Amino acid sequence: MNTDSLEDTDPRPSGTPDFEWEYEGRIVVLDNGARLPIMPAFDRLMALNAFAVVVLDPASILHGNKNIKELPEFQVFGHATLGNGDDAVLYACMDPLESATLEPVIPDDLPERTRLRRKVIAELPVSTLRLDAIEGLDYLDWLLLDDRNDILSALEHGTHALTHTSLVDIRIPFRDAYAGQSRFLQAIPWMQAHSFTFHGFANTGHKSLLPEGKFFAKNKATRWEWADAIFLPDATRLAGMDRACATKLACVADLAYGMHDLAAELLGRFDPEAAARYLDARGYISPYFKEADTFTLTAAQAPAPWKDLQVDDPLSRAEGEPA
Amino acid sequence: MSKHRAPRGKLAVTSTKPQPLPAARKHLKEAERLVAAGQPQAATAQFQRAVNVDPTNVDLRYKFGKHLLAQHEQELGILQLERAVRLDDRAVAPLLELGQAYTATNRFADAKGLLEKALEIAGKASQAHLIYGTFLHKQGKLPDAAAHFRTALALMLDHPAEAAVPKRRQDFDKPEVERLLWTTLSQLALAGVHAFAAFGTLLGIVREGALLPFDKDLDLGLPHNELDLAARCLVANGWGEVPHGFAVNPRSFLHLKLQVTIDVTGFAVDQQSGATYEGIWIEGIPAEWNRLTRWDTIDLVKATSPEGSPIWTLADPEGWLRTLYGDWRTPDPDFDTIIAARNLCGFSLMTQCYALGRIYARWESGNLRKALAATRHSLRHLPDDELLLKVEQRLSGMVTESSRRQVSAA
Repeated sequence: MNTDSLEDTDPRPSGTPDFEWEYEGRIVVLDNGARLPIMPAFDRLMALNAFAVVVLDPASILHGNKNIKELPEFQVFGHATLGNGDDAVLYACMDPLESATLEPVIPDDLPERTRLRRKVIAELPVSTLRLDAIEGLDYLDWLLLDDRNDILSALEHGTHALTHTSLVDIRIPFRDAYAGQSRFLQAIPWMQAHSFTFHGFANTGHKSLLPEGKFFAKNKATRWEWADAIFLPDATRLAGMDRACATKLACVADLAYGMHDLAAELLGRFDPEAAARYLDARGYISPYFKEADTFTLTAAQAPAPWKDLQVDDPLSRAEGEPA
Repeated sequence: MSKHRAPRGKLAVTSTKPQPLPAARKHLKEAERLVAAGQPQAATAQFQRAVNVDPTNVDLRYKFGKHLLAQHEQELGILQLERAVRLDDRAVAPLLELGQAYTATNRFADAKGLLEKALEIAGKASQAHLIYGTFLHKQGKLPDAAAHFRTALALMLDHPAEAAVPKRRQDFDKPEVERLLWTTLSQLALAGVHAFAAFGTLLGIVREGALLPFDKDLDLGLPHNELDLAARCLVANGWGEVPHGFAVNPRSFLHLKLQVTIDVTGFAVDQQSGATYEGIWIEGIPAEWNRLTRWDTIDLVKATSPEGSPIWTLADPEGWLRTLYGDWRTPDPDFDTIIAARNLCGFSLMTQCYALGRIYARWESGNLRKALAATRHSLRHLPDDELLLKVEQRLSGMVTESSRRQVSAA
């Protein structure tokens, strides 16, 4: 019973104005492990028709997904993953969603159902691509890395591309699900050494320890399985970022992660008015600042909850008369 | 809503009066000493030991239950009182205490049988009528409630109460409470709520430049239709709504960290007359039964709190205070807004219930001056009320006698 806290992070407040994102070109996304299509915000993001997406799908879990194939500027490469350019092995599991190029680990305490899902039924050759060797990627606005494939290898062979990358989202595991998974304490120094700074965790996946196969009135899942660590260019790189890149980064921060403060800060660097309009659209501008400086209570605003009230008027008593 | 005091040693705790076992008595005595010493948690442990030693003693269960209720341990207190009543279902004090506890948590069906039984056994006990009156009041059965409050007062006329020096808290004007006020007003303003400092809170700020030290809660006013929005904002900012409120207006919230209560009162405009009203309103009763005060038009202006945050405030706070208090510049320690507000609409059934209940409670606690002040305010609205005239005469004599004694002692 896993609970992934992948919430739709942008419940738009009613009655607020829309905000139009304005930038030239498309937001270029590289998704290693086919994480993007299962994000709650996916449909909303794709509806903007503003992204150019490359998905490396080593386990081919998107194979046969007609909806995705019809999306413009959306390319899926099956049987491929980021890495050092050599061939690798795909451990194909009973449940394709558990398949990985890192070997599944099956600890003794794993529930039977999960054990079955993670059972390897075939070892298949799979290509790895060096990020720096992918043609046509002049810049990358958003890089997503999953936890089923070798993250550090992907990063090590993409140092050049990363100098032009605005946001890196690394799924960090907290359990030994696959051999050789990169941990948070490995990712942080690597990213810092390559001019990125850790911004925060976005989504988290939890495991419930309630007995499986039973029905409960409510769920509770407290054990962290993974978290998506968001890395941004460090202060020096951010300061040198041009308006188009900053706006695209703001757009991803807003639409994919609901990081409204970050988005407003990035917009405000080039256009404070746009930042103000954005905050208004996201419900951050208090109605206090939009109304007149005086307020008179009227029946239209606060009607009494009764009809035909028959009471004395105490205010008609003469001034000074004891109450 | 006033909290009427529980009977003080005048009603039988048990119908048979068995003494606790000596070992239990020792724990009980220690528990009572700890309560007096301001160590309620240590007292709880002693009470628990006492009932462990003598689990079938009604007096122990009753006292333990009362102690737990005083510590806001409603469920545990009720549990002990239920055991006391099971042990002796003719003991009036546990019946009343448990009935009162059920009433406080809106368990009216559970309270009914207990309180009616207590009245049947001790129909001449003023406290039984007071508690039954409160039980009816909370359900909006105001004519019957008022009748029982009157019976309680009539029976009280035969009861000599000693004058006592009222204990008043003097620490409400702490800086952190005032900071909480400004922060809360600003949070509400930014959330789109037109809330303003009102009643005692406004009086303190305007007259004293600070909260009144003897006040017991923060008071805010706002448009009645913004109550729900205000409630959501308060809950999101560390307040919890006080459970079991029986009135739809005002609503009370407790700050979970500072343990300060805020009363949020809705103001509404009558569509026919155009007049503005607030008060204490119960759903499902005739509007005229409620306690209502009438106001001139409420005008607010934007302002900045002493902490620099945006707030709403009354455009004419002095005029607002004059409407409510009359001469607001002169402190009157006996003034009770619920009964004596200058802009009260008549003396409705609910106001009468509050007035009668408060006269009784203050008299019973020995705060004779305040009891007398409440009686005299009530007589301004009901000048020919025979019961109130008798009470006024009696209290007046007692206050005079008490003053004379104090002068002699000095």
